[in-house]
Amino acid sequence: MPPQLPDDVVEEILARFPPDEPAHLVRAALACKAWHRIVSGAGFRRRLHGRAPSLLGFFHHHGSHPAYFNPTSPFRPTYAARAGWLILNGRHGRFLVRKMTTTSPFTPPSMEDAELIVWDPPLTSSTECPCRPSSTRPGARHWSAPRRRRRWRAAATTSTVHVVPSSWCSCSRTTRRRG
Amino acid sequence: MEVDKGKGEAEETRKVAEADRDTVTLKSSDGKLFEVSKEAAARLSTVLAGMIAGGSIDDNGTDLKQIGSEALENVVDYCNKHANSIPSAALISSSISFNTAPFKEPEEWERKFVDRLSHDALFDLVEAANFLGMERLLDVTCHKISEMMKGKSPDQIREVFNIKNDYTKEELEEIRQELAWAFYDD
Repeated sequence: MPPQLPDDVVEEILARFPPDEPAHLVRAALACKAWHRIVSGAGFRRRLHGRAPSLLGFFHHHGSHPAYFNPTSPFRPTYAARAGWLILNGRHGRFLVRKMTTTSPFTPPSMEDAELIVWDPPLTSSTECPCRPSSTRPGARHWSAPRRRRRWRAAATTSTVHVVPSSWCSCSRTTRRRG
Repeated sequence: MEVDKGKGEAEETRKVAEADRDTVTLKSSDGKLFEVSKEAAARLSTVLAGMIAGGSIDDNGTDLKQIGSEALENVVDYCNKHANSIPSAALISSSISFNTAPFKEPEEWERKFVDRLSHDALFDLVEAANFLGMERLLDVTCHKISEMMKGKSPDQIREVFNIKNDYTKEELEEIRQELAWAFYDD
């Protein structure tokens, strides 16, 4: 039976995982709660993000077509492309998405029926925004994502997200490594 | 020890004596003694460098109670091989903290060095490297261990590292659903 390694040595090992394969860290965090605490710790996250973040992939879409994820690493979000999702903006790996009521590329997007969500690609779930853009001038208000459960996020980055829609035009956004 | 031409015998004797003092003696937890070049020890280990600078090196064997003889033998072996294999530039990383220094892939001889070790010996060596503040050896051993973990499921990782699963079934299922992409190839 191999000896159990102390936490500081485990941290040294986990910190040397390939940065563009975050699945390794997630699996390691599931080995036991102590390891989960290590990879979720502030020190470990600072250490990871002290390095240049790796590009995991990027989204692009044209007009009102669904966003398409172009991977540049083994990482694949659960929803690589979802009909009716229009990515409006992105900050620190999270995206402001408008769920369109029509999926036809020939119908102009209707702001009246738009539903906004904040999407974190590594997570299966997404958070619906409490406010709707129909009462809002584009670019005039900030949407603040409600604080969500973060217990299981290994080495994630941001604490709260303030998504500022600078424009409503669709454009490609980049997601950076979140650990 | 090479002696320049034209130097006298007395000087040769003095130089040999100096060379003797150029080593440090380390004592493992089970009392075995190992000699390592002072220069290599100071360059590769921040802890030994501190002890040498602080004069806390014992000529009769500096006690390293946390390190067993097999691990210490590997440490000394690594120091000697490192000193012989890499002449200059590659050694500078020893004084730079890992937090800021980029990780350098292990050299061929370093791979061979850790590949020949048994599972337990590798784990003992990584602990010794961590204890002695040997950044490069820590890099090489941790890299080897992280390679061992590649593509392994949490169950297999627990087996390799001899750790007990303290998650409940429900907790594991919740995480698996939340981060489904990390388990596609399970």
